[in-house]
Amino acid sequence: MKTDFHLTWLVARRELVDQLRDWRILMPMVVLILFFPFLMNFTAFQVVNFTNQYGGDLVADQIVPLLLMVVGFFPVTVSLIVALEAFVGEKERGTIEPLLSSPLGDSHIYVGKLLAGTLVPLTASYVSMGLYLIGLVWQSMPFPPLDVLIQMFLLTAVQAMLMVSLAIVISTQSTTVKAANLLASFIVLPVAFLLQAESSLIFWGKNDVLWLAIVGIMVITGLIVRLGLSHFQRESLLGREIDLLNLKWVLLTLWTYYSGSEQAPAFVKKIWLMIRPGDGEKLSAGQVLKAGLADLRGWYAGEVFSTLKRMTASIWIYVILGLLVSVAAYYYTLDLLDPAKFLPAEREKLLEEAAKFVISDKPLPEITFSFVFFNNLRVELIMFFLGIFTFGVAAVLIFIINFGVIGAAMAVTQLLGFSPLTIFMAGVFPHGVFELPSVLLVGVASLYMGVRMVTPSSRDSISEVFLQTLADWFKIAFGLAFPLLFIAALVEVYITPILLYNFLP
Amino acid sequence: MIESEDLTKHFDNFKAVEGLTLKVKPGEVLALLGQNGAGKTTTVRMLTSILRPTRGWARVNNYDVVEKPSQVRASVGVLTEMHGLYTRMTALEYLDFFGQIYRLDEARRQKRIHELLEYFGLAEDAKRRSGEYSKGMRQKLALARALIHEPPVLLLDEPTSAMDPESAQLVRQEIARLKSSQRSIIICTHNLVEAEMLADKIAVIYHGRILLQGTLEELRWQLLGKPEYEVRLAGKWKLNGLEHFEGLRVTQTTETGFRYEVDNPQLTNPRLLQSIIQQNAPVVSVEQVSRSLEQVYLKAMSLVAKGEL
Repeated sequence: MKTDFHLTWLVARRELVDQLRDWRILMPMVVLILFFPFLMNFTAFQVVNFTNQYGGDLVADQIVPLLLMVVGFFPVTVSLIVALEAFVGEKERGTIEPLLSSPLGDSHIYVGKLLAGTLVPLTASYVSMGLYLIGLVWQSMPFPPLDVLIQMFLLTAVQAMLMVSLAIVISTQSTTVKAANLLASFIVLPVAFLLQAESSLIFWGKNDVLWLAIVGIMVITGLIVRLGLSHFQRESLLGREIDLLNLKWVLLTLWTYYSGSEQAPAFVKKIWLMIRPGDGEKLSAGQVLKAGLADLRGWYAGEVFSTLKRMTASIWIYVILGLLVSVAAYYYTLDLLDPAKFLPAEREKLLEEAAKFVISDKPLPEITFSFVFFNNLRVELIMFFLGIFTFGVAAVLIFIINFGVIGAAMAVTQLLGFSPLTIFMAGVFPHGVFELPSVLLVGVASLYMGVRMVTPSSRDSISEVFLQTLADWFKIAFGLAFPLLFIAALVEVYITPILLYNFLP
Repeated sequence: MIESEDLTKHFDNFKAVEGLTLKVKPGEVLALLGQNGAGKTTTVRMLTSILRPTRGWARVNNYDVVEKPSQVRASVGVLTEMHGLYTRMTALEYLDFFGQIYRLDEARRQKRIHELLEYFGLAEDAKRRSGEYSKGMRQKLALARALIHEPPVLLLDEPTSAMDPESAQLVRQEIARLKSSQRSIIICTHNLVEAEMLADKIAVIYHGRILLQGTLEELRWQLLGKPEYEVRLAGKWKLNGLEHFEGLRVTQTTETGFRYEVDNPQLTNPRLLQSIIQQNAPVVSVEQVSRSLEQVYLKAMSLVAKGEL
């Protein structure tokens, strides 16, 4: 352990010394550290004085920590170039090979560079923030409370770690420094959005949510580090020379993982033969249909169900999680709307609000099949897209919310005087038996994507693993989840209302 | 010891190395010759556990390159194609950095650093940043890095490139010393004279495949045929009775001598010399015609071009 840290630190220290000897890194950093806090102090002073003239003390209170965060953010952005160069820069200069041929482990090299990439910008940020705070005292401006200070310093640290860890992943996967720098926009833009969201939270005074954001960013950063380390391959660092986008390879690989074969399905060839028979016998539509069904059967047996089998553990986790959340939401809602806690009028109003939440306020004719199907499809696609960026974590959250809503809805119906079991059996179960497994499967496939991405793979590159998991997601979605959603929408629109009308008073 | 069998590396459809079988014993130097892109660097990278073989196996210092990568890397000293120096570090810092990576204790590290800097004539410039060094000095520093941990196996890519003749001589002497101390050494080089001087065995690699492998003498026999001898006389002289020597075939005659091949030089050459002297011919020299590695290599390449090898 001690030796491991010594070797990691050895790599980090060399990088740090190298950075501090490079005036091209040092000069902008020094200028930023000295100039930016001064500028932000000036801005804070002007804004606070201006808002105070009109009694906007609240705005003044929030602008000071907001600018503190901005002061900390800029040095990180500028010094991102160091992290982006960490591997690909060494590769271009030819210094990486002696390092890769040495007995240093992957983690020594990777974590060493991560450490070096984080320490310089973070130190620069903290010095900047310190100068800004000194400026506040100097100008007799309102000083942020201790908890806000800790929050801002922590937020800066997790943001720096997030950006650097992303930059290091890009650096290991890029073929040239130029390509790595171009890819940096994939870091700066999302983090800029994150910063905007954090700014809103600061302005609204939602400090509790900001703590959650810090924890969330830490989790995502941890997963990104794990992703980078899992796919750190000495071979691909030296072997990858061409960075042309090979769309043909991407599509062919995706198709091969999706269908289990490089070839087009047999029925496609048969359709072709049906249209243009050539010298052979002309095929009938029946023969083509038969071939299509045989293809589909083969695909389900060979691809969809085997993929599903690989996800068994994740499915169980989801089922248990879903049940626990439903039950918890049910009891939480019952407790929240406990009659003993409210005056009758208050409670009635609250239940009315809750009922609106449970029962759609749309007139029934508007709840069409396409409305239900596309609404649910949208949710599953959101689970997929957010899942990609959060290693499946967002998909789990959306799934939990769905099950939580069911639990809460059952509690509200009970409080409204209906039997939750009847409501569940008549109003949820008929379409839920298709819809809930569909949401569950999409969530499982999204989580599985994230898990596979952060699982070490000595043979496959990061892009291959991504394409494999993407193909798995498509198999589950097109093979099971979307058809289930289709059936669920039909049932929800044409059967559930009839059952509800018949079973409810 | 370096051993490999059927060592193969494919990058997608490109066959970089195909079925490479090698054996370099302790105290042996193998020169790996081949054109640019022949697969020499890929071979070295597989032997340092950087690239994973597509097929076959290799063992370095008795460690499998796939199973025991860190032990392999600890056993090997590598001089890469590019010197790979951190140009903002001084020679002292650089060697100290790698000495620590190879887990040498402080005392041993300092001893090795000073020995190597002294040997390669870099001691006076040890506190200068390597970015200020000449090409030759950089090459020497890179070589010092490869030797810092006194590895039992050395993989050297163009060890004397960019060096002046004195420095190149120094490096060759060091390689010879390492060889005598039972190291297994592979040299990848285009310098055929150097390969001839240092190597016990030669392997010619072409498009990822080993075309030829053996001692220089074996390769000469294989490609250039029997050795040729040349008799030179002080003037014009008519020699009689050459046709009576069994297994002797005159390949070339000049006014002052001739060249010949012979099946059994140990038996025939003394008799031939005796016969020439008996005829009172003024012999200036009798020697084997030199056949350099360059001739062997070029012959191999010409045979490849004709599709005969």
